[in-house]
Amino acid sequence: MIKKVASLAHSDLKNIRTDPMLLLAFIGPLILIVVYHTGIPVGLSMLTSQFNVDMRLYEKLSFLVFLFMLPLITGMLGGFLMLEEKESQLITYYSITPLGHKGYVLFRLTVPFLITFISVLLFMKFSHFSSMPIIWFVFTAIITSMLAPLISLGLASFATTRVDGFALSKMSSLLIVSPFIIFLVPSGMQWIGGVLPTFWITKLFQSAWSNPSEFIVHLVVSICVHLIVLLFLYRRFSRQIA
Amino acid sequence: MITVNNLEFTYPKSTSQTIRGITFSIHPGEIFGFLGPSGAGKSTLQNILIGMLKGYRGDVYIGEQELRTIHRDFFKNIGVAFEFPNFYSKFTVLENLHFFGSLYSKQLKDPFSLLAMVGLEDHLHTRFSYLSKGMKMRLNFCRALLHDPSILFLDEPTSGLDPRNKEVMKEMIRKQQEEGKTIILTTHDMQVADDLCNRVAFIVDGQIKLIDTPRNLKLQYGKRIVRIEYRDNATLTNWDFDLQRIGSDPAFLNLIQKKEIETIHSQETTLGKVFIDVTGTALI
Repeated sequence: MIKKVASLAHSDLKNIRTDPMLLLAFIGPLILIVVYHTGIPVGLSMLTSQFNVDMRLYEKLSFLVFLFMLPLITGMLGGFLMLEEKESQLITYYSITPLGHKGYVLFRLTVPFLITFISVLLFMKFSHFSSMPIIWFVFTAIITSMLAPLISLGLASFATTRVDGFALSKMSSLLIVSPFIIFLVPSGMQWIGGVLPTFWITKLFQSAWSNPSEFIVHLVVSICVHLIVLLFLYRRFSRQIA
Repeated sequence: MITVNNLEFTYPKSTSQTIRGITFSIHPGEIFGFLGPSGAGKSTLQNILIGMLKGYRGDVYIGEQELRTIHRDFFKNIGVAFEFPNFYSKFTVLENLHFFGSLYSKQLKDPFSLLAMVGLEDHLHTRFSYLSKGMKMRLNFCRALLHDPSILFLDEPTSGLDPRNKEVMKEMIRKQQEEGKTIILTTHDMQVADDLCNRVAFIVDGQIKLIDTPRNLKLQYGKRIVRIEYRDNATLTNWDFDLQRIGSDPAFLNLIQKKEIETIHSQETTLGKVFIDVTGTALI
């Protein structure tokens, strides 16, 4: 199994190396981390001094927006690789090898998850919004990283070509709207955002920061929402390639 | 080797069956051909046999094991060449073979000698997307052999090949049979089936209409006559003789002794004509 995984990873690196868009998506999380931790503090302080507005109020919002961009980028990267393999019927071929269709999907979803997990850990580690118990820190990172396979599978199961994929990837950027809903929409109307997995991740972070008693509830809901959406997408994808 | 009993299959959301009560068996070391027009159910049948399509009714035994209960190791023993070669377009010929080989945890055949066998030894480092259709088909065949499977499934293996490479491909398939492999061929090229298959099954509308050897079929459905074309005062003429006791037929003996013979052909028909006679359907 290790040999098969190594081989698939090696083939991915080759694919990424030869495709500028995928290459950019691969190094995207690193660029985001650097931009967030160097550019945003400077930008916010400039805005504060120029317009005399206390931009610190929006620090948590910008933290979550940048955080969600990490799984979004790696999820799209995984999704486009799956889409290319779906288009060229390579997934069909995997299903008649010892790797199998399930092994293939597992690999394709695990890699974006792991890349996102590492980048989320780095992103949060250097942020002052990560002051929470270590176990909460890990759980929030895991839940955020689960977005990446969800986006990959969403792209692969709803798009039939890479062109469709581009359109869908733009739509998936809507996931970033959740922090805006929670931070800017009156509390009674916020729940309309509950259909978005990122809504529950935002709630999870909010409870970790200021309402610890609700952390477990939001954690369970977040896990359930992600697993339900993943299962739905997996079934849809499996039906398509059967 | 492969036994199929009363196989039925319906695609999800379809109201009619694609495979309708098929029963047959394939013997070890045999080249068995599924022949039929497009949409007859050949590819569906192949996809069931290679374990890709589930949810069928009836029994499919590969060796002693029913297909529903097979382990993933089953896939080490089958090699499949789909009609449309599916490879990584940005990888070279050799990179593709190395990659697909790495999915198997067993001793592989030497990719260099496989590629040499199909005449691709000068294209080891050519990107897949730069290969011609014929080259892609040959690479497709190599990949199916790479892990040395005991059963080969070949879907339209000569599609897109020029006459010379078609012959090369047929020769390679025969060689695999000599090595003891069981080969299941899906095609609508009657000449290929006639040249290669030990037995053929005619499939129309999801049903097998007939199974037999190409030779038996041609004899059974052909005319037992010999047609002789000869020159008679510069005019090309032909004469049919019944094969029954042809050696003692004075007219036949007189003709071949006295006239300038141009051609002699027995009229045992072709597999394509038999197919039309049996099924009432032309191969498209």
